Amino acid sequence: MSLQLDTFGPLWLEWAVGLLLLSLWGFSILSTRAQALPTRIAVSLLRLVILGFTYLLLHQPTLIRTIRKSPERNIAVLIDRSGSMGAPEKGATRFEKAETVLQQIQDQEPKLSLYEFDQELYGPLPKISGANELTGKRTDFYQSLTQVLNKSQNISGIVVVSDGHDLGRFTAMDLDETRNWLKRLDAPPIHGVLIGNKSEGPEIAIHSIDAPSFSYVRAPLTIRATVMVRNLPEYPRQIQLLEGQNIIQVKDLNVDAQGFGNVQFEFYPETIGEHLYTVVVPPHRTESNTANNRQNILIDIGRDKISVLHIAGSITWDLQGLRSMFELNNLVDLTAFFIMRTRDHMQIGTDARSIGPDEMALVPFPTEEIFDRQLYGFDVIVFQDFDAGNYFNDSYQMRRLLSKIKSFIQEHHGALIVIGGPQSAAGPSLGVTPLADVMALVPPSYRVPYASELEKAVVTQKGKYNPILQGFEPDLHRFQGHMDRLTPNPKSEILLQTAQKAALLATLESGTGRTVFLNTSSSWKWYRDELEKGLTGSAYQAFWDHLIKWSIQDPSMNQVHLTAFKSLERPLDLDVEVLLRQKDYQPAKNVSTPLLLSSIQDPDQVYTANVQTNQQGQAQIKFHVAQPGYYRLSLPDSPWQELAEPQIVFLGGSQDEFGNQDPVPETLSRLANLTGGKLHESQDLDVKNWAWRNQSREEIIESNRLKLRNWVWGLPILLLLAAVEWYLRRTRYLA
Amino acid sequence: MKRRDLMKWLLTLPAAQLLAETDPTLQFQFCMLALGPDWNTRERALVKLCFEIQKRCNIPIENQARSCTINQVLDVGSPFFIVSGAQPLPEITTHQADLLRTALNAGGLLLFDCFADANDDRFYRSAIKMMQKVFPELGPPQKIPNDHTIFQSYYLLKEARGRTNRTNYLEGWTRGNRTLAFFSHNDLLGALETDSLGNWSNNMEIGGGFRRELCFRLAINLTYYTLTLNYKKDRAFPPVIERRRRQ
Repeated sequence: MSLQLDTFGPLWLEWAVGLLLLSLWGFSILSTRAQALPTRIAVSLLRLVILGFTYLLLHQPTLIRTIRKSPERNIAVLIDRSGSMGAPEKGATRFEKAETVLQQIQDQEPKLSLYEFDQELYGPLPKISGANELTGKRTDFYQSLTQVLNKSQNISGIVVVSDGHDLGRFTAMDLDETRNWLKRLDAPPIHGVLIGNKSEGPEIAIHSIDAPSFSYVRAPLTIRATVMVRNLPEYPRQIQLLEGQNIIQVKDLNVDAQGFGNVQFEFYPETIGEHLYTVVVPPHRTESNTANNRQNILIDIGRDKISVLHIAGSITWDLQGLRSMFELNNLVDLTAFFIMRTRDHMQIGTDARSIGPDEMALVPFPTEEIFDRQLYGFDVIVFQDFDAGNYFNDSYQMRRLLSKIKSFIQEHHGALIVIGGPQSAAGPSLGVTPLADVMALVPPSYRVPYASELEKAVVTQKGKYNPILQGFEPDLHRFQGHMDRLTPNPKSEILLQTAQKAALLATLESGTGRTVFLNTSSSWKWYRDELEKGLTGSAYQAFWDHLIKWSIQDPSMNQVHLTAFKSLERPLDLDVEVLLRQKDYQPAKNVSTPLLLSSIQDPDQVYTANVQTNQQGQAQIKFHVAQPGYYRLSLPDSPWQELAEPQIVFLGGSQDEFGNQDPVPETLSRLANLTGGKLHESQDLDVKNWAWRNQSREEIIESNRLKLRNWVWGLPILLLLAAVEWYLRRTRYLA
Repeated sequence: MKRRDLMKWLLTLPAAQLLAETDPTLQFQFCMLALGPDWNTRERALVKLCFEIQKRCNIPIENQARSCTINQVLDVGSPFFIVSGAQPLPEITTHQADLLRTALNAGGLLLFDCFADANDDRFYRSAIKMMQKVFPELGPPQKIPNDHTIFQSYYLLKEARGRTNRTNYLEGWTRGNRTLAFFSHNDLLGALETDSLGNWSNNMEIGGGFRRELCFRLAINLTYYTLTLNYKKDRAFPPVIERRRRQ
């Protein structure tokens, strides 16, 4: 119990009041000098008490009574339930071992809060979940510890039972950052219990890979790999990134003092779909475990928009029709360049009378910028009524840049659409350039005749089944004008031709890319003809939509679709949807075909099933696999095999967890060292002797405050004292 | 080949040639819409304009403009229609409005050019009435802002010009980001018109040669806008154009 006093004014006032009271008391002693000494002493004492009590009340006296008690020990046990805890470890999984460790801790510390964690925290839980409920998510110490310390304020200690294979922010933080983070959280001692066997020998391994699960085609994709080196003064310095057997990039490795090094790969994926990349560090000759020297990462490459480069050699109604359609299509990211004035117009036109460039809205054709630096960012290049003259400085530049476009098509899955017109017929022919090798129809010489007749197109046998011509009607979609005497490329397929067999529409698959030659500048009129007939004009748009999607190899134009669906709740299950279409894109009804799901790492893991399509050509089936890993889904031994792109899927939760499952004691050790805890092996646990916070400290759990001014007995006592003093004065004739 | 077959072939050859010539051309060509009592007053202006476009622009264009009635608008290969006049336009039927609507929806463009006196707005009011029938959803014409593509589709222009000086702006009927029809109050074609010897047919109300040149530039910009739409609003151009306008 303690007494608290407050001041009632400035110091001089306190002194003045005190002195005044003392003077009064001295005067009262003096005034009773004629009395007997006992009476005098009694009265003075009473007066002293009354004055002192008054002076005390002026200071607002408060009585404080506190109750102290030793706090109850509150220990949080965090059990790692990430994907790597499902790894087998001498007859049992790591998670099952963690259950045993928990039992040992509970035997000695019965009162504890139980949590589980992977990339987030679960709990407090009444009991540990089963090993078969692991969802395969990744480990994140940073998130989990932050959450547990924010949830409960009075934690005396934390026990982390884990294999230490952290893939969150914690591993990326340096020592100072980690210390500050723990200080900010006011972390109690953290004891780590390592599950799994520590590797002591020389080791170089891919510790983790940081990459997005989804990226866009022809957009930069960054993959970061963290490499761990243990007990190796000299180690391999080059890290490779592979896709299948193809080396994509090689980077140099530098390892810091703690044995970790980072490398970053950046490249531009060229095709859409699931891509399985592998990061490989060459094994050292003294290494015993080389399984962790490579790690896979599966990334889904999709398409945000179709990036179209539209270049027109002359300004025509056909250009307007195509431009108008591109402007209205939200899926098209359009970069256009139209030649609005040629060198001839500058030399012999009125512009020669010096209309300054500042009065015009023209920009020089950025030949190098478009064809050299930005070329690989496009999905498809459209040359509309374009010839090989006027746009290049010299023939060397023309050959160099057009060769680059050829390489873009043949080696980088590029697409090219050439629209023939009067300008391309009259100007220097693209047929004499390197592009001739990749064009479906090749103009034979410097100039070719341009026939202007209205033609009804004849759909060839190959055209009947081509998806580009789905919805094309020869009676409605007439061709007015075409380049004559074009030579089809030997590998091209002619889809439309005139009655005289002049090619009007031809396609070519050249290398990894595709090209189309549309031999007319009149397709814009199809739209108006449709409107005139009372139709919506959608067939014209559909024709161009099909044309572009076919040329960029969009999966929607494939006859066969395999779609795989995964579930977070059931990480080892795979739902598959199959869509089969005939050559004419009609649904393949009631077709039976085998479906194969095979492990990429383990050839013994093979699952087969037979599916039968319904009236829409669709079929569904479910697979359940025993082990997590990368699987390839395909249609083997069937006529559909060549048409179906095999799908690669990862089953089992987080890929990162699956990549490297070696225990990492360093992470647990760092946590323990910075908080006053210790790292323990699962075999020797002596929980009674572990350090906890505030073991000897008492905490105030209750506090009572009593203001004497409000004390119910205060006034009666004061009145009683005054009454006694009055009585003495009256009986002793003092007043 | 038998003699009879040869004769047949020789007889059919000119007929085939004739048929080929009657095919509507898909090259760019101006088309005067035969609407109103004075629709062909400024017809020769388009001859001069075609000649200037041939010299200045990379637009394959027919030398001569053509004309058509409103019932023929869908037969025209090049749907750039011009309605010129000073007198009020006759009321069009619903069918004719549908035809014109289809032609403009399919990429065409309509230009009203008024050469009426300053206080005479009968042509303007009749044009609005006609467009209300063609595009009832668009309402009355709106003033075309100075940052519209029409003022930067080829030449950089600050305002609309013409032979007269009634307004310094164009009006238009716009849907989305595309203007389907324009109205010029300033007798644009009057500034371009020449006689057969090449002499200017009409004096400019204000100014002379350079003002007439600005009229040609506006007409060329209208042509480019029709064919390239909002190309000059693509991301590569606005910074360059802004910089040039500030100079």
